[in-house]
Amino acid sequence: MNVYDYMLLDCFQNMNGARSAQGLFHIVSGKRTAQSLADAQLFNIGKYYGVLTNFNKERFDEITGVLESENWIEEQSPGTYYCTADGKDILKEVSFPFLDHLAGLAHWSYEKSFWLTLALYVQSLSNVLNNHSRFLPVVSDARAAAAVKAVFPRDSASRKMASERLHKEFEHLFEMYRDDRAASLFLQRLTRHERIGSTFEQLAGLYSVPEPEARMLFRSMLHYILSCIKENPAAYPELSKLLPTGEAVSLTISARATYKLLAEGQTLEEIERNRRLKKSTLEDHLVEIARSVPDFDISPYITESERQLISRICSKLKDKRLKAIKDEASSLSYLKIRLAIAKEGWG
Amino acid sequence: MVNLEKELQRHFGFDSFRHGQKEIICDVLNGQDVLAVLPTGTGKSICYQLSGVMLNKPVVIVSPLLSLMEDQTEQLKRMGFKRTVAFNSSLLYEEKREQMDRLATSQFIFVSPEMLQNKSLILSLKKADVGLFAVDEAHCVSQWGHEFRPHYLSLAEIRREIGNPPCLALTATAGKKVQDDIVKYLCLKEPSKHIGTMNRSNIALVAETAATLDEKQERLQDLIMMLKGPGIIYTSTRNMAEWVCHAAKEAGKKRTAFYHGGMEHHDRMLVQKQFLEGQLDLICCTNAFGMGINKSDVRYVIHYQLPSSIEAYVQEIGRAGRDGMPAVAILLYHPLDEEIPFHFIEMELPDPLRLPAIFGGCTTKDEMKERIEGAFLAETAARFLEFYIERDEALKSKGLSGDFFTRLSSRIESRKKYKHEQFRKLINWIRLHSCKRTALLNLFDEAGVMQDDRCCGSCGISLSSYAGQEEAEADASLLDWREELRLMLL
Ligand SMILES: [Zn+2]
Repeated sequence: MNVYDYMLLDCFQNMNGARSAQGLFHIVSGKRTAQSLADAQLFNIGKYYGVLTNFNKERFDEITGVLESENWIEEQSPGTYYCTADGKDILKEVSFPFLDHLAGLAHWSYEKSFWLTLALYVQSLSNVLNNHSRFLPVVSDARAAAAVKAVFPRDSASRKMASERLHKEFEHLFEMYRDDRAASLFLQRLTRHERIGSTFEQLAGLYSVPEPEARMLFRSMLHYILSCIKENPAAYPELSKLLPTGEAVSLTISARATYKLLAEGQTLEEIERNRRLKKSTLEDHLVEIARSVPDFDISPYITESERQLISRICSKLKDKRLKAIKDEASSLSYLKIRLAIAKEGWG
Repeated sequence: MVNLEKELQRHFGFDSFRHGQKEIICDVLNGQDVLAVLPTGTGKSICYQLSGVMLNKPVVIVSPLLSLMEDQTEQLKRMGFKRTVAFNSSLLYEEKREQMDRLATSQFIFVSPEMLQNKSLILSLKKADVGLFAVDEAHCVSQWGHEFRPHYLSLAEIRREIGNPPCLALTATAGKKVQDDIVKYLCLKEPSKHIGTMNRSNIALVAETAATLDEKQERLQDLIMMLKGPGIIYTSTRNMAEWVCHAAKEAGKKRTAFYHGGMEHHDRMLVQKQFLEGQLDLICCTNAFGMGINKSDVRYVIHYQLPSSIEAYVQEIGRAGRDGMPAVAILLYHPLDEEIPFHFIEMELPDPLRLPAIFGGCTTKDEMKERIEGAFLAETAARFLEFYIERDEALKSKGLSGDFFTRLSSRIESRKKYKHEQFRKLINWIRLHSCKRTALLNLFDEAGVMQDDRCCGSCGISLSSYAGQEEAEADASLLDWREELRLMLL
């Protein structure tokens, strides 16, 4: 079984038929809905959230088909599967230890921008240190370029110091990670002076692993690095300066614009009118902001007693679908429920 | 009189103009309308770039391709022209509005033909006092061009609306008929015409017909092992590009990679840069590769499957030998290869029989747009429908009439017929026994040129003069991470 089979089977086992395969597809492909985010956490498969962003539904269905033909999962009602005894056995037999480092739900909002910034920063630093200032950037993303420009050391002495620090930080992380192959593969994906990084297909060839495994080895390391520098930024000054500044940056561009106007004191009605947004879109923004910006105050939209009510319902209910909560608290709007959930971090 | 060479050096870092550039820029600066046909790789963009700098007024550049637009914008910004903006479908409402507010102080304004239909954008451009209206890939205006883009037909009117600035129409490939269409539909007034030759004398032209598909495959293997790179192999499909790449690697050509539109963005960037930096000897790709890529020392281009048109063929082989040194273009043909391009031609436009089913009962414009989206048409097909619906204002009265469908159907049919005819010409050219170079130039209404040396397969050519060993590969063994990290950062 390859690593993708293992991951999805693991998910099916954890969900135990409580959600459809379609719902699982939304989770692993990283769909940004309150439902997907909440489910990922609820079923303890948060580490897989958004890890298969390169998947389309066909690819997903293909793997589900493989799992079914091996009798590892069985359809209990149309579109819903549970993990069979055979499936549980094979999950015990096979192991991909590196998957333990995955943390999709924790890092999804900034991992891509962090990676692009890191790739461009390392390429720039490595080339400039070798007196090679005209090189072809492997990242064309404008935001990553701006981020690198903002933190790039100005003179050669500070460049040298920055690269030595970065070297030390990587060294420390890789030593703790205890997988020399994964460390080497991660560096091989990066571009340095006189060596452009490798595609996943090339990495698979270089390290004699299937391509899915090359992708997951890389992704696990990236998440590990993010977990470490998030937990202790002071220990990794060089790497953590490449994180997007301010949590608001992790918002989608459109939600960020809403956030900015809210901060300037505009009302929801004004924003709706001025930005020509649908009401539902604006509500999605609010929920996204509540989830991503820790000090965002939701008290204008929901009272303290309403929040407590939702909190009580959630701790009581096994089924944390919005619909189920709404049934228990019919007087509250969906927006209030979603805001409370986002703020409490259940989602 | 200003010294254009000096300005060229100052702003763009080139020491001298390439053939035709200076004359074009002079005519533009004199306020004339200009039609410029410059073969691929001869520096089209410098014409509007330097003109824009000299005019010191905003320049509008109509560009049909998102990727091309992004390349150009990025390139200009890197060269220090920060006041460069791009309007395309990937923009969010806020970004669009913000850019629109800054239009009057912008220097280069890239815009897709579809976006340019926007009324408020037109209004902002009108206020911005545009100094030059440049139309890239101008052949898109012609039904007789290989990439007809209906929205180009409204460019003349938009140009008038924004104050009638001089127009610079640019294209890499245009025969007489297409040139006339460009002048007519873009309403160029007494344009000065600069028609460069399509002839690339340093590229030898070879087309070989294989008796069987197996034979073609063997021939490809032989060529790959014999020819000295860097080289490009074009295929029609993504799967074939990957397959050829694996075959080449198996045969021992290790420094080979594939490239196609199905890969994720970052991986595509990496392969592109590996090729540009000389870390690859061979790239196997679909026509997604090559746009905006400037590698001067490509020594051969092989077509393992057929391009969709003569123009596409000329563009693709034009990526060889930009340094002026000898290069060779080899097309391998088997009659069964014709299937895929035929299929592409069919897909490119909507099937007339489906029209009533797609639009039946539609009454509003928004509804029609939704139907088009829901019909899973190719991008070109969707654009085609959108334009004609918009233009015919078929909805102004009471929904779409049968009359409208009839007109649209005949438009589609005649376009398809034309593309099939053009494709036939390509096949005929492949089978031809007389001089390929002369015949190819004739297809673009140019007089033939026979070269004494390294002309074409018909005139006689020895491929062994393009043979050679690739330079010794660096030791490909992987480094321990500690060593790699040291090389990277210390
Ligand atoms: Zn000849």
